[in-house]
Amino acid sequence: MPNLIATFLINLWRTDRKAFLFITTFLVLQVVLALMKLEVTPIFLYGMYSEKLPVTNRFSELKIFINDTPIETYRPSFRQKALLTTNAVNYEDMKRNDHIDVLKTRMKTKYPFLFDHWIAPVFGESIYNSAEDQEKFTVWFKQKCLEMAGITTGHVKLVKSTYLYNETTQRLNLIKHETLEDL
Amino acid sequence: MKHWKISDYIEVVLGNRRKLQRIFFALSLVSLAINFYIGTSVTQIGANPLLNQDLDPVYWIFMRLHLPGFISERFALWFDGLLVTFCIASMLWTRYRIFPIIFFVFHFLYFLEYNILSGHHYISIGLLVMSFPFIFSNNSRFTSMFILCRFIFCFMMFSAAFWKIARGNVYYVDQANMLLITTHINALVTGENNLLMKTIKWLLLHKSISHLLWIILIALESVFVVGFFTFRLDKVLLLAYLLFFVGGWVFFNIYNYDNLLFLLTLVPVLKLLEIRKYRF
Repeated sequence: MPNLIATFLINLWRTDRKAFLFITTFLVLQVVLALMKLEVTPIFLYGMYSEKLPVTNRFSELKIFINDTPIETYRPSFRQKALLTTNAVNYEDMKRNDHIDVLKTRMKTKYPFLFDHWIAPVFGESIYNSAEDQEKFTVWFKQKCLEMAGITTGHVKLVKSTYLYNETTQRLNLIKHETLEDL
Repeated sequence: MKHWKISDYIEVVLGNRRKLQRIFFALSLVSLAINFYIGTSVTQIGANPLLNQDLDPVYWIFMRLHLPGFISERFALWFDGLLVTFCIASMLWTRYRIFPIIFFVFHFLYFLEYNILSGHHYISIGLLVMSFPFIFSNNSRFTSMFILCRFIFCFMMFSAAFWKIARGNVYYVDQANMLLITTHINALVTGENNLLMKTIKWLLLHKSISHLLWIILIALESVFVVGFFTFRLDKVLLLAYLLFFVGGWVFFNIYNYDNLLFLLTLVPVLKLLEIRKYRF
């Protein structure tokens, strides 16, 4: 079987050493960082959906209601809905973490040496979201939701809904409805 | 040319460089138009104060330089406008390297900005990676980087399969069902009964079939390992990616349309450039 990548690299070594060095460095870093499960743009980890999802019949989701109507009624695009929902989840995560950026807590606990000797002195607080950013977020978020719905005034609710899956009917039945935020 | 060797590949890529550039930037313009249509340009997102930097140090530098706020607050309209302008300029004036270079820089910033504002780091990297070779004026370097894009494409697909296999996900019968429920949670609550949801419910009832669908998707990703060794199976890779794209879209709501640009690196697509009646 011909080996395309080897032929390519050998040819490159003979004709363009700088390009050879750039490409081999990139490829080696890509493999090494992938094995270390790290991402440094433009080197990415392509492991999405590879973690096993635990078997359960209980499912929860964070839902957005605009004037008591679910966001889906306003037909947002897939990415628009993902943008609003993911940001709302991140906001709730930070709120649950005593308004401290989740990344900061994660780095302090998982990588204490890196955090104390490298990350904190170089970046300081500039790479973390503050409690003030969180407050500003609620204003931005509400405005984005209303804009998406095509209305100028109203209220936005963040609700955590929990469902029970019925295997016979393949339906999810609501068992808990908890309002987390009323903006 | 029956079976392509690397010299044939280089010859076609090099011989059609300007045509390739026109096609690539025309498709990029379509991608930017889709971004605008679905409301994901920087202007449309606005200045989200809660940034998602995650563990990637490039995003930390981006934040340290206060670029997210600068781009989304004061510069948004200009930013979107210049991104589109340099895309059009790169498509129309293929002799000038400056346009693809500026486009690459702007699109790299857009990539970071979108991911940091959207709350999740998406890997729609087709446009970002594929625009890189066009910044080189040196023809041999252009082809080398174009081939690198092919290998990145193959690596992206194969490593996605590798993780699923290495983590035992491929043998895990419940993965597809759990994913189908979490993906279609809203439709399962409201009891939607269109053709797609009928199919989803049928799959949920037949766990072994949904598991088979999952295995097929992983197999379609795995096949990309051959892209490192030969051009001979590029037709298979083209078909595999299209099937994977449609399968991911229909069943799991994965819309990485930017990544379709990687198909330009496959031999059957490059062969189309050789058909003379198509003038670009």
